[in-house]
Amino acid sequence: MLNEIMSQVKARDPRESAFHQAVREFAESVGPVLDHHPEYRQSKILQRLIEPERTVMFRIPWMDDDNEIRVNRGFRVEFSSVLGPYKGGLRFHSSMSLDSMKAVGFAQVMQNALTGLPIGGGAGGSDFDPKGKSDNEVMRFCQRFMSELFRHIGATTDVPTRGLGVGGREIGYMFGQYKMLSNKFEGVLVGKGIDYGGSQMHAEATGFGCAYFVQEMLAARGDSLEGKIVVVSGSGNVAIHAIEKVHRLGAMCVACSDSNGFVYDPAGLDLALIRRIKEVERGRIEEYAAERPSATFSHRWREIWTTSCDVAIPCATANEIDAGAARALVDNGCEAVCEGATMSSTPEAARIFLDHGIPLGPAKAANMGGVVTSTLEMSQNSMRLPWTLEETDRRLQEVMANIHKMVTSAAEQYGTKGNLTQGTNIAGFLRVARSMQAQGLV
Amino acid sequence: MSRRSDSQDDGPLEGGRDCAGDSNDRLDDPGVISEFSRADFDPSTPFLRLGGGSLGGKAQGLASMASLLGRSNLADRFPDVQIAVPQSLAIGTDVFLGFIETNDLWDFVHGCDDDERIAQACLDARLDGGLLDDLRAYLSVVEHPLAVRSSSRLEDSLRLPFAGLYSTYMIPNNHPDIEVRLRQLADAIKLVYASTFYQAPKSLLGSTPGQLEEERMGVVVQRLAAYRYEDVYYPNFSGVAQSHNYYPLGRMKAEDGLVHVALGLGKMVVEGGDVLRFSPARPTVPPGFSSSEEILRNSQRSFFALDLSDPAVEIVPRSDGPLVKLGLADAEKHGTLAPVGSVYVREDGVCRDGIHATGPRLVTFTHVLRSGLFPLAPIIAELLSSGRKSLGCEVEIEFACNLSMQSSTESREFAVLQCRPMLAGSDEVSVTFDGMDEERVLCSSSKSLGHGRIEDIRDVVFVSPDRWDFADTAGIARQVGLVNASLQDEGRRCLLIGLGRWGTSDPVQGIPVEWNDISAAAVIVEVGWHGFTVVPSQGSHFFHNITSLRVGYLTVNPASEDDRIEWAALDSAQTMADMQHVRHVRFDRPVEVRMDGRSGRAVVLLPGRPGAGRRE
Repeated sequence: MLNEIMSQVKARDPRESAFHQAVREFAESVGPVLDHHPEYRQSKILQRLIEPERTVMFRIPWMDDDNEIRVNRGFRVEFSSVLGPYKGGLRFHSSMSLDSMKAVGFAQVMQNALTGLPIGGGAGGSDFDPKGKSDNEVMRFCQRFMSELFRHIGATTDVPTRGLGVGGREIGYMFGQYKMLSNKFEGVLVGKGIDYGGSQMHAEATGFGCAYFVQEMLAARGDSLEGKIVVVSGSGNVAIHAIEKVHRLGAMCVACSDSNGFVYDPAGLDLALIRRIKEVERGRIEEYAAERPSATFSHRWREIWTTSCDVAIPCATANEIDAGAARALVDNGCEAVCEGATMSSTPEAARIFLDHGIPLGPAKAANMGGVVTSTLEMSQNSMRLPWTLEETDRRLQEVMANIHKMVTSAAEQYGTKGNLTQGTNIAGFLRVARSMQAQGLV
Repeated sequence: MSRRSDSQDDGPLEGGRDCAGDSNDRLDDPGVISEFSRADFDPSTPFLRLGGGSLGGKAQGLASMASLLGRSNLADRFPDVQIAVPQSLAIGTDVFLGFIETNDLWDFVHGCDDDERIAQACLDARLDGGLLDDLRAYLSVVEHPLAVRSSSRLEDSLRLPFAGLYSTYMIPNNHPDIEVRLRQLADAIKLVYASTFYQAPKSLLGSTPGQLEEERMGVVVQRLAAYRYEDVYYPNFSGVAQSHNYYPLGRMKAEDGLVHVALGLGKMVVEGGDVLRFSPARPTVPPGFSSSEEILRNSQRSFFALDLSDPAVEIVPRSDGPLVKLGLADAEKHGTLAPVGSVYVREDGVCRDGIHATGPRLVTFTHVLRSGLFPLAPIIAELLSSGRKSLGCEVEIEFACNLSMQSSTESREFAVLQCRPMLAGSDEVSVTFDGMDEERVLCSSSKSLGHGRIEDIRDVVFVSPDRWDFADTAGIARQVGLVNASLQDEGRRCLLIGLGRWGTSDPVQGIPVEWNDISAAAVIVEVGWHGFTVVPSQGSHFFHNITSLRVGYLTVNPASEDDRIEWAALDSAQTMADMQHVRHVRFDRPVEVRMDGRSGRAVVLLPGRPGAGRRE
């Protein structure tokens, strides 16, 4: 089956190596599902799924500050609307191509499906790189980009979001142009400024979501975060909000890090101090130890995982928990690991956790808070009613709990109980496949 | 007060200032220099000299700049800004000679290899009584903080990279007792003299044709171009402008020059801190400030100011003076952040100009560079152009600016603190490729950034095509990081060679390292391969570090006839680490890196003698 799929993909688009890779990884992960569901094979669910519903590629001519004409290429890959309007990030980067757009859009379908919310998947962007461009150039490009894209998107058809090289500034410029061209003020783009339709909690979402996910992981074992000792690596946006939420849920975080090293504070991290150092002064975490007598600092940031803890939440970087770190966590009695950063555990580390019965919350599920909150922005736009931070937080918690439930259920149903990574790969696909079956051959 | 005759000076471009400028516009009008007189000292006189002999390179540069400014039409072009050299008192080198000889220090300072002992010996020695009387008279009128700068004969030479080697001291000059202030000034002068004989300049002189015996030290006592805010004193912003940019990223042009600017005193710039860089020709697009995330990472976090809280402060050797490092909250309180600040609005993911919003404060200079609050870029462009034309070589200007935020009667000020021939890093200026043994070429690039020679690297860390794996570039990055950590532990620097783009955010475009993974690299080489042409990720934080740390950056593209790399030449060096993707080898003698920042050409040569570094 896998060979058949890959042959099809390569024959049709022989040069799209990134997309090939995305399809291969996905097809391998859902192989066991297809074994249980011959009807999906019969309906050629996978073959249909790997072909985007619609692809738009367009020219973007614009004028730079030197009055030179530049020409970029724009993309929107509307991959699947089986669960709702296409939704996915826009990326502005010189390396963007149709190949990379398809790879990202395909993965987005499964990721969005995992939320349980009514959203499909897609991706888009341009080979325009905002780096080295003036504010005016970025604005002119965004407006010109939207001058074509606006006819393909809409609040109930396709909702682009922030992504690599596309932040609040770019979303603002594009939203303004969309509004002018379409004469509609609607929730067509998410990641907008709060003043004009954005949602609360964009900054907090991923960290909070991660804390909620780990809470569910512990609840599934009849336990909770109450009284737990937690180690969170990193001290960026995700880490700080994960720390904030685990503290509120009754745990005590004792260590965090940055690229220079890590601090260990057995009295519990003073989050206000961390916030001042990292968010206001944009300093080094080392400064925390200088101000807190109970804290110590080590330059060896990888050794943060030798700190004794009940729960580990890696939020710093990919592959930060390798086999050695995993063994240290196991030896120190760690009960759960939940990834805030993408692929923060190596495959060897994941295997060690699995062998020792320690649940590993994969980032594909655990750091979905951002996706969830941006979808909640769509809900608020549809209602024309902004929610309070508390309301948004409550809904985020509900969705994260539902994601955990879907993941554990899928893992159990397909014979890999406790393997949340496998459950994550399967759960999104199941929802998509069931809906495709239900909606017939369209 | 009397005018000093031309013949008393030994030329405006003394001490190795060997540029060939436009003879019609030479900076050689000594008429701007007036002789200091106790009897009728007028503090409004812009440039005074005290004592005989040479003024030294720095003082000459300043006098020349003062002359140039006097003759230029800058005042017409920028009528709202006072562009000038701050009031300066230059002390001639005869005073230095007298100090050394009268106190019988000559043999001691030449023979001693302990900087602290040299400093103490100079502090214990006495300045001439007449000089002290002159300085007392000066201080009886001048009560603002002062910068006491070195001005040696050889300093600011185009051939000799002395800049930064000799000491500068800042003194508060605010004690009610003039004798205390005199002691502070005298100590600062003595310590500038002491720095003539510290180990760093001695080492440099030992390796150049100049002799320590020929070195003479002048001193410039200069009004600190700044304002008082509570108990500290600093300019709104200051920096360094260079007429040639050896790291012309993106659409920057090398000949347009480069400016480093920071809130507060220029120490932040000199120390290579997080400051803003821009091209005077393209000030609205500072590299590394393209997105909110980049600005958060790259913008200034703190600044330096002179501490005025202890008027009786002791002037201490090897320190710039009683400086304090303050946070942006202090600048906001003083009102100096508003003209240069922005705010990151986390909820919206955007930077807002000005500091009205709630959120982390950032130093972006948006109001200055985009909104026309102060004509910084056009003034600098004009000065660099004039300076280059006059000196006949690339120039470097240190400046400080004040925006008259405290009082409507204060004028806006652009103060030229130094003007000197430009040196590329600390390396010799001229880089040639003549007589190069082609068999020694490890790699060559027609598109490089950086300038100078590097001849102290023996370690090479590389990812060759046979070890490359598109699917595991994160793994490659991890292995590079491990090798880097071991090099750092040993205090070694390396030549780093890899395929694709180093520090890419897209893992299929190269190796997605963070700066910490490659911080031991003195030279980075990116090699194009299998159809991907390397496009440097210019403007990123990664590149911010490369430029501020002056790391060499070579791009080798197989499509270019002039570019090549000889992977096989690395196989025979001693292997220090051999990983799945990454190898670390060490030669027994250094490789040689030559980079010409003007042409963009660069080569890395294998160690000189045949067989060097080969396994024995």
